[in-house]
Amino acid sequence: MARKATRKQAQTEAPKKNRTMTILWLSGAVVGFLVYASPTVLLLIFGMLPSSVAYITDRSKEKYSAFCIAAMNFTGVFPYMMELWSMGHTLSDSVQILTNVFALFVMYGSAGFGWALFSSITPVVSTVLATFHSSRISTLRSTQRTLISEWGEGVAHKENSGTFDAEAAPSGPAGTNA
Amino acid sequence: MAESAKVDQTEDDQTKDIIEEPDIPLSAPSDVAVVFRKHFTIDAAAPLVQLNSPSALAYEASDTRIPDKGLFALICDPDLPVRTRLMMQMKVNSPRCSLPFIDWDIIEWPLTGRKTTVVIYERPMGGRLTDALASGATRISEYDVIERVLTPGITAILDLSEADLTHRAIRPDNMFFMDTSYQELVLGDCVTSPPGYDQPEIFETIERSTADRIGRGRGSPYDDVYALGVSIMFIMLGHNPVSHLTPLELLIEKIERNTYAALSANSRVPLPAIEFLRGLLNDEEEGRWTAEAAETWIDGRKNTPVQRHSTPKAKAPYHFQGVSYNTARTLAYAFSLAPEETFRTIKADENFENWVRRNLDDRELADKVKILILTASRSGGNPQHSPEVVVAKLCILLDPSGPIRYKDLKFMIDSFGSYFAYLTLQKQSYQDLLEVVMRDLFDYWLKSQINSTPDNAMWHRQILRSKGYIKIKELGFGAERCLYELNKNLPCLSPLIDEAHVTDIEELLPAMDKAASNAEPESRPIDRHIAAFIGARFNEDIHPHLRAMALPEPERAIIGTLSLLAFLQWKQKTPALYSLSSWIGGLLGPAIATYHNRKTRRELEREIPQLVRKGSLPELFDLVDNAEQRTEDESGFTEARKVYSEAEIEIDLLEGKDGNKEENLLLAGQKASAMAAIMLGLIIVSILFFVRQ
Repeated sequence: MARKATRKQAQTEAPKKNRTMTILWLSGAVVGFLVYASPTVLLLIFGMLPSSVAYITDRSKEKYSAFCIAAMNFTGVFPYMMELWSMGHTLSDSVQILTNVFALFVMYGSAGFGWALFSSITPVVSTVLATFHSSRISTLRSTQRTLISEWGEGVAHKENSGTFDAEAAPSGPAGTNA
Repeated sequence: MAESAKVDQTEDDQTKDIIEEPDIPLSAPSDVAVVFRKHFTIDAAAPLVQLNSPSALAYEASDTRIPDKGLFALICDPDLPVRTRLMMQMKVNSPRCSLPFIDWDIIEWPLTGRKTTVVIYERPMGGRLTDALASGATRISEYDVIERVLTPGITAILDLSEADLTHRAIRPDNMFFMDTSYQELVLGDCVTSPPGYDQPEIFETIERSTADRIGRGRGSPYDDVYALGVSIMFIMLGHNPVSHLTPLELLIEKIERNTYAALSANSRVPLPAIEFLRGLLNDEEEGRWTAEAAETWIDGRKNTPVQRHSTPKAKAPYHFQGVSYNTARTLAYAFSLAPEETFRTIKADENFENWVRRNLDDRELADKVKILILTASRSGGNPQHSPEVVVAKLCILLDPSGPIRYKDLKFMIDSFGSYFAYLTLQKQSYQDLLEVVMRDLFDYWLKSQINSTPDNAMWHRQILRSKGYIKIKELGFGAERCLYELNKNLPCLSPLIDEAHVTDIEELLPAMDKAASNAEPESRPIDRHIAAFIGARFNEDIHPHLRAMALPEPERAIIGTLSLLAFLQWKQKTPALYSLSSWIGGLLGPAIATYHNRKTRRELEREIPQLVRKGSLPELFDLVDNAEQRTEDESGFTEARKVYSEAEIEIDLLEGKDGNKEENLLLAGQKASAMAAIMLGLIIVSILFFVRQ
């Protein structure tokens, strides 16, 4: 009995152990990567700061504005990231870039462009869509009106009340009815 | 007295009371001739009062094919069921020694303006037997009564019984001499009224005499033999020997003594007649001579001596309403006359059961009576055990061979159909008659019969079917269906076509077409009578049509009506029915409205008048309820609904389900912006990457 319980306990503990080991390995790999890519990470943390702000301030579920700003923000950060990699990829290079006002202006400016893009495209697209929807709705309404004029009001009823049960009708004289 | 051989008509009050003149005009103010079958002519201005039947008036008639032959016509009462089956048989093969039957038809009688049955007979040149005897033109002695009355009477009964028919109207005043020398005696008319209807009670057997006139039933040759015996007794005695008795007294006399003894009580019956009269007048059917036995006797061969039976009397009488009754049969008769008093009496009087047990000495009957009374007292308000039902059952127990006696009805089982027809024709309520069926009194009667006969088995099946019809209240069933099933030759009694006197299904559509021109445009062409008539006479499965007609939706009901009539026209190859088509065409609005497609509706409305002008109901039906067109309409409608529904869903989507149209549009704009930014970003990053390389 005791042996059975021990075996059961051993069986439940084995996957737990495996999972812990996996987490440990992954954490180790991430830490290793962060240590190795710390200059890039540092650049991204400070360069993408407007995107982080946009993400926090955008209360909508979809976070479209954050995506829009982040996309443009990244285009501003990307040239300096490539420069960092070509320079030797050290933390001092990263700090050097981040302390460059022009570089910061490009990074944050591109984020601003992203915001401008978001603010200008959204109303235009909404207006175009509204016009398109109105046109589609009127086409659909017209189709419905045609259906009603051809088939009667019953076509708009959800229930089956207006339907004549052909099965319930008697068959006529043989040969006179198909 | 027998030798005088004259029937004293003044004494025969009972006969006179019953044989009344039909209440219709006797003659036309001027010469009015009715021609039928192209060669028969009836002169409505020439009544032949001396040849009248109790239920039909006689007029001069002639046949252009045989102008020298004397004929007369009997015009039947249109409100009385006639014996059509008998007419058909007699036309094919007129029995010997009965008034030669020439022909019959349904004609419109000008004196009443109604359609009625007319019967053509050869004219009896010697006139009525009773008239000849009363005027002294001839005498029938005790020695020639056998040859001149018994022999022809038995011959006629034999001929009829060979065709499974009965006369049921044998009495002295319905016997005629065909020749002026008064030698050839024949039995008179028997087809113009229901069986036994015109017979005075005395000519009916004990069982049938206690029934209503209309309820005496078709009977059997035994009943004819009995009536012949009573007729011969009257002819020989020259008078009604029991004219001084009331019906109840006569019944008591017949039951307690027997018919022969009752009729011959105060008279001397000639010796040669005693034997055969005892044979003919035996009250027990098993002991009564058959027509064959009588023929054997006439031929000079001896028959088994007739045993005289009389109903066993009670040791002590039972007193009911101040009258003493000595037999169960007479008591049943008295009970049937006062059902409420009877019910009270049998419930209160504990001695009744003892009387049956001890004085009638019938334990089995006493036990049945006891059970019946016990059931009645415990039943509460169950209509199956109402006082009327209990009394009816009690009467059946006391007199099993007698009629069914329920409320005011007293009828033999074989008169059920004609009784039903009579009440309907007379526009009287037949509710009580239906109650007899629904309260199982027929079954009770059949189970109470001592002898089981093939007729009883047939009636059992018939009543079961009738009960089934009555239970279904829908069009084509109910009491009306039962009526037409029981009376195969009854005309359709629908108010629409009752004047047309439609007895054959093939006559129905032409009659309806004729009636359609005067019908209310909004009314329905098929009522309960027409539906039941078609159901009973049309030998095709019409249940789907009847089911459709019974539906509450007017559009389905009218399609059911049209389909049934179209089926009839198609099957019977009836010529064009213009008025009926027009009538039905006007009622098809709801049926056309069942098509969803408006264009189809407009096309149907345009085509209906064209088909109405053709008078073809099958084509009209095919147009209105074409299965292919109907299926197309249905599938088209389903598709249209699907398209409509999809459009509705899309509109909802575009408009926003909860009225958040603006928010949706804003979200769509934001999404587009994000997508544009991401795309732009990817492009710039890619360019930068490649430029850097």
